[in-house]
Amino acid sequence: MRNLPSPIKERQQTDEIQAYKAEIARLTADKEGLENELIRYKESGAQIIRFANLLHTAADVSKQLSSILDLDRLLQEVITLVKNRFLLYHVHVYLLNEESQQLLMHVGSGEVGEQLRVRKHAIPLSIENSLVAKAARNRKIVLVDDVSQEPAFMPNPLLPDTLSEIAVPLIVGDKVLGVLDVQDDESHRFDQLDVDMFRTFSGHIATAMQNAYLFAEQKETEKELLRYASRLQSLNEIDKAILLSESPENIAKTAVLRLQAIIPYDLASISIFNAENNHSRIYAAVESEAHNSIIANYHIPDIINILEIAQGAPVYGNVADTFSSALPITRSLKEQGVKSVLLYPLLYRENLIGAINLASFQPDTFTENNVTIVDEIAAPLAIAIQQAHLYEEVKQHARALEARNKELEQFAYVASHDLQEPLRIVISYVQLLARKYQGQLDEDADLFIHYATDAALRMRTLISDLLDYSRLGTRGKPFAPVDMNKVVETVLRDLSLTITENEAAVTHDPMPIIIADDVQMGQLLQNLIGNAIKFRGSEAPHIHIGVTKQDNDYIFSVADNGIGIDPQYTDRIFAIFQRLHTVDEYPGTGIGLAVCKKIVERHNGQIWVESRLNEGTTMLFTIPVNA
Amino acid sequence: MVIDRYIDILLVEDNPADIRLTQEAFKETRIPNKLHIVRDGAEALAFLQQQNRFASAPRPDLILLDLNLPKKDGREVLAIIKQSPELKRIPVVVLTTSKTEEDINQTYEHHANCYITKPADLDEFLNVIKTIETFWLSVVQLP
Repeated sequence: MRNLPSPIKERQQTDEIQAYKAEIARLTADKEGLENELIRYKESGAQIIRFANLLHTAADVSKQLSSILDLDRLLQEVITLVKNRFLLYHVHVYLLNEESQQLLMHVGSGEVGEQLRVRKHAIPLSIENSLVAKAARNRKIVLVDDVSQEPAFMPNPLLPDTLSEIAVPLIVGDKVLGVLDVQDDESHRFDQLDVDMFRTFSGHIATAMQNAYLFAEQKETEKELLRYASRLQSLNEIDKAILLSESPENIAKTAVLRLQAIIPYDLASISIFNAENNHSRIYAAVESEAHNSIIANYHIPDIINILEIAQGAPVYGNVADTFSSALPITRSLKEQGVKSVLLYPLLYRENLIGAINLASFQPDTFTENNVTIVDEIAAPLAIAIQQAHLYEEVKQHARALEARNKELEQFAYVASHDLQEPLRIVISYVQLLARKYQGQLDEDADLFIHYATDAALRMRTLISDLLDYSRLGTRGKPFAPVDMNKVVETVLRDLSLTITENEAAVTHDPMPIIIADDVQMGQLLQNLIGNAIKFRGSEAPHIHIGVTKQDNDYIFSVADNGIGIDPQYTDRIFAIFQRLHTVDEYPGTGIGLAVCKKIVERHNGQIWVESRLNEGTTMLFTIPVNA
Repeated sequence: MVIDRYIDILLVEDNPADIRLTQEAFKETRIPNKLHIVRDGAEALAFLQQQNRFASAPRPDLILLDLNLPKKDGREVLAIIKQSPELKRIPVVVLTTSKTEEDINQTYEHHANCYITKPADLDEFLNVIKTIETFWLSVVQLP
């Protein structure tokens, strides 16, 4: 083609050029196409990488969140993950406080986050120009591509470079927990993919937060239960101390020691005020040697004063705020290093009877919660101490009575014993007088001697009875098994002469074996059967000795068909030397039933009478089955 | 039985009423007797040991001893009598109002020959003296 004539050649050349040009144009177009394609490839590659990153982050967040049950750690983890994975300018989380209707900055990335948290940065829910408030209000993600173009944007001076911002509400069910707020220093930083991803995230985060809340609640409930159990145990131990009839000192000590387990006090005491003699006592004190003077002196008048002014309410707080500096107690407490105190009044029937005093070397030790605990202990404690006091008083009375009884018995014994001696002389000489001078004086003299002798002999019987009676309590035999069948047989044998003389018929039930003093049982039955015969009516005496078992008692009865007792006298008959008849009608000193009563009482039984005048009498007495 | 001599009885008793009563009772016995009376434990020992004003006192054939005495009480007197080789053979009848077991046991531990509670009336008292009489009659038959 090189050797062609020039016009042809030129034409040919021009065609070629055209063809080249076209080719170049085509290639250029191809190249652009390829370049565009390359860009598209590159873009979709980046998209894939980003997508993969998002998936990875989502998986990480889900995985990590589900295992964190502590809210603070959870949220810290969330912001760290989000910030680092997406290389963002700032991330923080607000929590909604429903009471104050405010969004409180809870955790944020970096120093700014920390500063905001310390400042307790908060956004009212109702504020218009806050993206965070708007997201929470509308429960929708709020996205702003360029905050400088947003008229409603309220810039945060600590975050001057913010351009893009996305506020994601954290919602569980229909409840808004807070807002995740993400900011970047590039405009148009977030697209639809980000919005979708954050929507997914927010669901995970909110669920994890809910779990953390529930867990915390559960833990709180558990703690509450433990506290409750501990309180119950304290009350229980105080109750036990009461049941064991312990002394007020022991009850107070138990209470104070139990409190130590639930209230962090350093010193404690329970003081009991005595209004009668103005002398108060400290019942239990937990104190260190160095500080015992605080609680030992206690300034009880001050404590009473303070509690009286409080009118039954507890007084607690720091010494400086709680007590007037003019009071001696305040100076004393300050000198000893006591910073806070709790004084709890012990009330019994609305009277101030004492106080629980707790002290601490730390300020602000005693809380309302502590007061509640003390409150639960105070009422039973007051009752217990009061009861223990009463119990001790009763015991003292009982001891005094017992001592006096012994004394009386001793007195009766000595008196009757010593009375016998001169009486013996009187009787002997009156008799000697009768023996030597009977009939030698006049009739009056004989009568006077007779009266004197008679009275002296009756007095001897009385004294002898009194002596026997006084010996019942002090000289009884120890209790042992006694076959009452044998006792009845012996008594009937001893009384056989009387029984025959009176043509009496005496029957009896089969008798049990009881735990008793056999001699006294014999004496008891002999007196009762003897009486049944003595106080007979016109018919021949019919006497039955019965026994029944009721609960823990044997009830013995001696029933007769005698003259009976007027019911108005049934109480009198058991008193010593009480008689319903003259000596001429029925002989005796009137000691028999008093002896019976004393014997039965010594056996922890009871004795009584059922009778109708002219129809007979039944004497009944009980003896415990298990003595 | 014929008693050929007085028997000497030492009555150790501080109560004049009892002394007289004893004297009255012995008047009614068949035994010729001489009742020597001392009023307390110290005198009783002086009598028995023939000291001071009792230098010429006879050795009694029987001692009636009250337990509750001034100065030295009957229990001490009894103990001394029963420890003395010369006196221990003299029969001692303890006469007392005390019925307590302690007294009775203690008295027998000191070898009282007889323990008699002072009876509460005259008839019984006379019976007691009669018992002593019988007792004495049996004693004198001993070597």
